[in-house]
Amino acid sequence: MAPTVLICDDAIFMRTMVGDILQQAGFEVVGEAETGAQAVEKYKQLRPDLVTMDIVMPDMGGIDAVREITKFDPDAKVVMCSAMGQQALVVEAIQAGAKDFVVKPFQPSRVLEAVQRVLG
Amino acid sequence: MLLFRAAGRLCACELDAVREIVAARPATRLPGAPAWIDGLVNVRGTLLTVVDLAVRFGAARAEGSAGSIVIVSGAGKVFGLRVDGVRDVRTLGGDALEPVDAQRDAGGVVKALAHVGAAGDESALVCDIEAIAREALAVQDGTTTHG
Amino acid sequence: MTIDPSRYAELFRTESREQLSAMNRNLLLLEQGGEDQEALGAVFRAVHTFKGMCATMGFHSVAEFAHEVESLLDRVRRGEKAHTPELMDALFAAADALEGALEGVSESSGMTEAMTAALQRLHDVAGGSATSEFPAVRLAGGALVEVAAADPLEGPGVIVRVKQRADTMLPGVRAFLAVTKARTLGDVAAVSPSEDALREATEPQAFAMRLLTAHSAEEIERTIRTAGDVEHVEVDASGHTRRQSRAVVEVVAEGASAAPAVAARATRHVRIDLARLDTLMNLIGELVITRGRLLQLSAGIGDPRLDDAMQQASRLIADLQSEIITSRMVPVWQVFDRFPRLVRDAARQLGKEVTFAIEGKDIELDRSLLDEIGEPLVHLLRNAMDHGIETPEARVLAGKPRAGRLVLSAARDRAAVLIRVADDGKGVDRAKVLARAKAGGLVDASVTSLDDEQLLRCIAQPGFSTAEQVSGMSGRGVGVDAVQTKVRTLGGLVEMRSVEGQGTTMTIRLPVTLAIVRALLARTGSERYALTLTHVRETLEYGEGAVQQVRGRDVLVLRDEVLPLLDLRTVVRQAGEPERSREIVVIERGERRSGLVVDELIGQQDIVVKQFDAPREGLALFSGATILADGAPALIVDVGSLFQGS
Repeated sequence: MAPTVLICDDAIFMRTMVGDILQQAGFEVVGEAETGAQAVEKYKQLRPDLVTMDIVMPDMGGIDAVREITKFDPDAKVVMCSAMGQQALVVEAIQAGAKDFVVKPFQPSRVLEAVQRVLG
Repeated sequence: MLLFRAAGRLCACELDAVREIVAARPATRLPGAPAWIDGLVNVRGTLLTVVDLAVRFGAARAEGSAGSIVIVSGAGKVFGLRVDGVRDVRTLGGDALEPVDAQRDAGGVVKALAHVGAAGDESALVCDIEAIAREALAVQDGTTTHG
Repeated sequence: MTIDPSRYAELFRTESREQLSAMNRNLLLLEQGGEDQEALGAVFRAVHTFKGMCATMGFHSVAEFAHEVESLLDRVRRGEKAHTPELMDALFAAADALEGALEGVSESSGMTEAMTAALQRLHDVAGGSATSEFPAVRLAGGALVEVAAADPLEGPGVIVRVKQRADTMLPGVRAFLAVTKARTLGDVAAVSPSEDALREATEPQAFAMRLLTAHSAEEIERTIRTAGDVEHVEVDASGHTRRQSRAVVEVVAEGASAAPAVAARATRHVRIDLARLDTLMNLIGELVITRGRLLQLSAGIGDPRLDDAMQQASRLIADLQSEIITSRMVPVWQVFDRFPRLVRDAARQLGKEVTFAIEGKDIELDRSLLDEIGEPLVHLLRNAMDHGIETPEARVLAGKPRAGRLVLSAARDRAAVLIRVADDGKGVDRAKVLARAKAGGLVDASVTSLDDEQLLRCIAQPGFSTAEQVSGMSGRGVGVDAVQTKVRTLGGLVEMRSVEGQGTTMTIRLPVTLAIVRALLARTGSERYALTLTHVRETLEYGEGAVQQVRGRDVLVLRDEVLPLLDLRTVVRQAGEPERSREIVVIERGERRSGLVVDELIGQQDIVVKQFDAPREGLALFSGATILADGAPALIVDVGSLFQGS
């Protein structure tokens, strides 16, 4: 069965691109979230194998969402999607429980590497 | 060139301008339009204005749905020519074409006379599709064009 | 595997416009609300998201510029930078520059002039080049620092040396991740360089840590590698001596074969080319027509089983049709959202104060209509700002609040959408318009006053507006003819209400969708015409209301109202005699009503509006044509135009 993934980003553009990369690699995109709160809610509902999480989102940010998700499921595999210049935030996300991160602009190979590492 | 009959006369037009030939059908009258505009017809979902060539050349309107509609394009517009019937496709050119005098050019819509037939004994009025389009339709005039 | 960004170009354009629109919207909120943290956050997010998208598309210069804007915003957010009008102006200029930069941007585009200018303003506002340095998206060559066997590494445990790949992104964070992973195996007693220094690193690193663990060297290595971008790990369990033997030089290959090749299905958003939707719309239009024919045929056969099947097919076609129409609908805010900015700029330019409100943002309209309506609305809003709303001083003198009120609203009304631009300004000076209209021969010299409709007709005269501008006469007119022409081509109409001293309301009435409209089919003689329901008020038998003769003209007396009567037969210049039993359609436009006499009303139905090349001469009464159930074309009468000159 294809591993499932939940994609969280406030831009459809980003969601589409990440979704395409992962789908081409055989993942099944089971859900998308535009806000941190949505991400948490959808995680609980869908229990995906993997979550990609944007840091800056309206409503509840990505870091708080990781915290909530990890609280709910300590084994949650969340990969942060970060932009250049967000070192401190990514560090915070990792402290909050994120397992890995990728940096925009996304290179498909980088995204897949990160995902493979996380899924072991 | 496509040879056809209209108003009892042999006529012709450039084959390149011809899109399609369909059976004549009753047209919906376009109020206010000149008498030689037959009206609006539906050709597989597309609405076309049809010019009645016979009336344009001064003959009587063809009644009923006999004859054909030659769908042509010119001056960026697609429209129909109501004709009695289509006769033939011929290659004509060079010496077969003869300039028309002002009397017979019917207001500029006939651009040449073509000699056809084995002995060149019959002549056809070569229609200027572009000129007809400009005369009949609102070419490059957004105010009366629906679309 | 590669992802070609150009495939996302359209999506990028659409969504980046949305982000910039959000930026503008929230900048306005920010400007109005002062220290509005929420709006500030939203601006920040919009710029940030936009930056990420640009970088992904390879538009580095735009991304860099966006980064500068983001850095400044971040400082404002953290309270390091105060809110000033200059700041707001610089940010608005930045938004404009970004918007402008989107046009024709490519990977090789440099900074536009507007961007350079806006950048200068940002720097001025920020007080020198206080914005943070933009971490180049282009990868820096990975200079490696040889790690000396520093003191902290002296002690018990194993020494783990890690070398990062030369193309590591955010190497500091990656290093931190490696340390974090190491902690899952045991206690990290020391890190060199220090953990804090490591975290801040912007170049790929070679670092070492002392780990107290019982795990095997292989396990340690595997775990560290899960931190990613690790070129090389060396686990030295022999105390202080260095050993090279365990060096693993294997690098994760670019494009490593990806996980399971199972076909994935997803239910996600797609954006569809409008041309495709148009094609779908045309096809469903054909299908609706075919349905009509089938219904006629099956009614003739009279087989109940056939009727059943037809009923069902008919329902399905109707559902399909409404689904397709729905998929074309977009909320009006997609266009309205850019107006607050426009109004603000106009107010500043004109030295006026205005409160601008938008109502009914979520009302939906056919996409193709919405695309077309932006321009006319710009005209109307500009007019309201220019000629409607007075200067603060004049308002105070007139006993009004200093700030004018301008409302842009959308509302549904039966099969139409009403878009209104209402101001509480000075209204149109009727006397002046009347004088001017008389001078221009637009109205009879005997006319003493103009009602709203006459007023609109006057100022919508193409020449009228120009003359008005030249003479500097107050009132409206600039571009009203353009607005009216545009709205008419969309099958809508413009209405106007103006009260001197109290303000003016312009209303644009549009069909909800261009392609399919509800119409009343009427017959006169052997001809059939479609009347769009937008203007139909009611229908009645000829005998129902009292038809009387007033000054030689037929009028209809209906509930104490006297309506002029028009005969469709005359309108379309049909020959022949009217039939004996006839019907009347009461049509209305604005306040005006008329009765339209027809031979027979065939009934209401959804018609597909088709455009055609009309003859050069002909009545300008028709807004298109449709194909009836029997396949014959029927003209659609623009009922609104029947009021012209009547």
